[in-house]
Amino acid sequence: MKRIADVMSTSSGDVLAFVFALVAASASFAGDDPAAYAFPQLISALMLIFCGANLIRRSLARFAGEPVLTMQLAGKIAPGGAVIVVYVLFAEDVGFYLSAILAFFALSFLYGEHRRLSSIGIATGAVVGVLYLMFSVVLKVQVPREFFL
Amino acid sequence: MPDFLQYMGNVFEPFNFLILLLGTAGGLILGALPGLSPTMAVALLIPFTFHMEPTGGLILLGSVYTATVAGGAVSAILLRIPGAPANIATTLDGHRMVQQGRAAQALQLSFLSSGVGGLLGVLVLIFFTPVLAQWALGFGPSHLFWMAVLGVTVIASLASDSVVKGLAAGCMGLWISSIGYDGVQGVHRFTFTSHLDGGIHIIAALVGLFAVPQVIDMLARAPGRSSAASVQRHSLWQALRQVAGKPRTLAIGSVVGVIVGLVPGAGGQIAGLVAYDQSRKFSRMRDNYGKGEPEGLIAAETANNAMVGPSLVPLLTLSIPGSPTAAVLLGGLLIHGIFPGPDLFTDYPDVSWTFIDALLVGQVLMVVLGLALCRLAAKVILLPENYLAAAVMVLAVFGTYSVQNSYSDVLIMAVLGGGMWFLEKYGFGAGPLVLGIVLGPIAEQNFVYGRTIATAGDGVLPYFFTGTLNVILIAIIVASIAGSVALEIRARRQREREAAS
Amino acid sequence: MKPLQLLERRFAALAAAVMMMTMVAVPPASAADYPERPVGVTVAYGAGGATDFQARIVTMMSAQEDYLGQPIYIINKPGAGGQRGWNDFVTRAKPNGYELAAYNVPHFIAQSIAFPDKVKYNIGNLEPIANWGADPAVLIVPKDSPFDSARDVVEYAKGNPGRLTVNGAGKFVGHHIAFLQFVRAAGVETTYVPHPKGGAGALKDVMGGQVKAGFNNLSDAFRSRDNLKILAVADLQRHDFLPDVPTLKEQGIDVDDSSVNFRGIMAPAGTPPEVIAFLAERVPEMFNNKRRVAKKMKDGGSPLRVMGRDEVAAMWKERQAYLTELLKDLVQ
Repeated sequence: MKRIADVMSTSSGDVLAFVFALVAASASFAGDDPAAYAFPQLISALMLIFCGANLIRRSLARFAGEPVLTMQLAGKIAPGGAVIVVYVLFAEDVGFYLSAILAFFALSFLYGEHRRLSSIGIATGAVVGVLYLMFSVVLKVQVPREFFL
Repeated sequence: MPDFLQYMGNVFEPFNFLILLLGTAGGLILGALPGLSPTMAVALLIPFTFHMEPTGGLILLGSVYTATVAGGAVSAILLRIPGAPANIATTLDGHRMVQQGRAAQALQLSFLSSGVGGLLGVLVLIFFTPVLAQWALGFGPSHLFWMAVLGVTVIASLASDSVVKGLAAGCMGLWISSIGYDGVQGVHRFTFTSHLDGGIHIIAALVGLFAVPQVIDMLARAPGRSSAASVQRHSLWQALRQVAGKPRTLAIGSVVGVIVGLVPGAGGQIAGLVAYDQSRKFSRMRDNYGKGEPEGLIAAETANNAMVGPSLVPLLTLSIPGSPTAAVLLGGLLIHGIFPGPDLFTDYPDVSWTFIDALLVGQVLMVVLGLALCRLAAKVILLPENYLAAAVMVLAVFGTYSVQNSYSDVLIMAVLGGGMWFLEKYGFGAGPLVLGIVLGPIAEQNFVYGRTIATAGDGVLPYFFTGTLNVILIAIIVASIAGSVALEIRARRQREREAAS
Repeated sequence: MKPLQLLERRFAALAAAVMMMTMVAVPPASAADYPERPVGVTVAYGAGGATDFQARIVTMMSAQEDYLGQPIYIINKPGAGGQRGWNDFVTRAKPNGYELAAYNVPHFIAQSIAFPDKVKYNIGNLEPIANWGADPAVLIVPKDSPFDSARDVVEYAKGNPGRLTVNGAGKFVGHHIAFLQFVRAAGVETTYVPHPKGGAGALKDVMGGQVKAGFNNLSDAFRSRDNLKILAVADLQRHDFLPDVPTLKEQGIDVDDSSVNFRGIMAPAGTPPEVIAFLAERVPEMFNNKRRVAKKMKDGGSPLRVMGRDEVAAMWKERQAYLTELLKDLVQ
């Protein structure tokens, strides 16, 4: 458990940023049209320099950093994160309003203090009602609807 | 009697005034919601104005535009989620004040300085339009390029953890902005999935980078209420005195807002950030910026709203929309058969002057309504965080989708948001990243555009480095960087002194 | 990077499942009842733009019994110069007559030629319904420019190869096509400068003298005619809005109407023939509504040109053949 917490320390963030810079740079320099890729190439080179400098600074400091993502925190946000991922993946196919009801209900239930179904239900109804009024009635946005409304 | 006073009475006709009132109130609410930008609000309302008289339709669009810009500060301050890119600078000190229990004060200051900036901006529009229109035309690609570079120098001020990390995050933003189809060069870049064809829309990025990490953090703290679960009362009279006591900040904010607003294509989005940065450099309180300093909030909000009036100058006099919102307004005008141009004010004096008067009165109404809603709005942060997080998440999906009716934008928003949560934990800021995304296209496209023109002319170096305007802009950039370096050295010395003692 | 691809596949699978479920649950309404609910029209450009507001004007009367008998609503899907909206349209729209789109010719045809592996639409998987507008490109120069005719521009370009800068809205749009035709017909070497902010930005830079000339929309240039000089129209005949401005052809530069920006309505391939026949009959009548549609278009400075389905189909084919030839040097 402690080991995972160590992996997610501040210095590993610097490593990750450097890896992102590497990926961006390799994608930019792989482009076949030199004129069109000049800007991304310049920027990704700068990004590599800054991320590299950041990494060197960190290793000189010989300080691994505070653990950022502890197991406790990961466990705390995991269910909510899962709800959000499922919500975003399927909202278009399920329909915006039905998925909003499910997501809102799930998030406020999982992270609620008292978990009284009635109050969570009322809150869900109120929020989705306001969403419907605003987007479908006032602004006339055509949001995806499959099974509901 | 000046023309604009002559038509002032039209604004107060019962029907027009009702529209103005509804537009202002509705605009404040729309602007205050995360993910709903002024451009989108105005675009979605165009079809309504279709069946209205031209005057009423324009009053609605104008008042909604004015109020959404100001309303954007509300979620920026309370939730640290800017409603539009213009409000990024507002989050810096505004949200700190909320954490210190000063939510009511922050909102009051924000609306008051918005009003000052907004009124000045509209007055500039009224009195200097013909002169400024010609001046705005003088801005070519090289000048826009330098303005984007000036925007990039602001990054150093935004980096809270370390300057290197700020610059790295800025580069990430600049690089991300190059994803998608580039119409100038006719190429698709990094579009390994068709979701990325349209590029990263700035609103999708903004919502993702700011709202999603906030949602996750709220969940991490839930159940219960936010750490800032107290709202101290703050007297309006004091807020007025605080704003009035900062003439220099108000001046810097207004001037920056007016200039950035005037230049077509400069991306009025950055006005708040540039004003924040400049005001910090000239301030005695510079060390408090970012720690809940009211001055930073005042500078940012004055500039945001000062931009509104001048951003309409190129549209009204030259029929050239200088900003996305102005482009939408142009459609709204044309639908009524009103052609903006040099003759607008002689051909349609009643419609055009009534519209401008409505902007003026709208600024005042916006302040009054905003202040009235302050106490209520501040209570939002007292809501249990599970409800708040769920509501923000659902709104983020709806808001991002409705910008372009595109689910790809929602996916981009979520992916960027998840990534940003990790980056933020590691000390990389969302501010520099968004700034990079805003400025990337302006810098690159204007450079490419300018280079093409220059190659056909006298060459690239003289095109970008000679001419009064280029030289002035480069001088400002150099001064700005020098200022940042000086600030940094001073801060480091102070830290060393503190460490020694 | 992989997750997104995976995600896309996941979507496709789910969409297919949902589609099958709805097919089982709801028997397909017979085409004879069409339309029994509002009809959506996708516009591949942003709200407030020329295509958007014209689409809103020409469809405003559709609820009348003589026309569709059902209202039409507009959905804006801007991005990538229209590619996002049209890609989305051909891949996702159900061919049932309730999901239509606005087209811009030559844009979508030129894009389908220029980006064969990125663009999923072409004239083969789209069905034209009717055309409502035509906006020719015009050659414009700054107000204080020494050029007074298209011939002057050609003379200058001949004397100063590569030094003449001509801007336009972007690559592979009407302005770019007009430029390519102009250069080819006049036999000159000049520089095309696509503007990052589209047609409006390009117009501004001609006014401000940032470039020496430009090709832009007739409708936009017409509104700004006091701030610039309009030298020629890239069309077969002069335009009603600008009766004094000659065509390029009249000035001895052999440019036809291939760059004219045609706007109209189309359906996805596979839409039932009865539905297409119904739309092809009613939609042109709706565009021709004199009292509201024609008047609003005229007030808005937007040239109306109504063409029926067959005429549009022929025009698409002709453009496809011509543009394939014109763009072959630019496409890898």
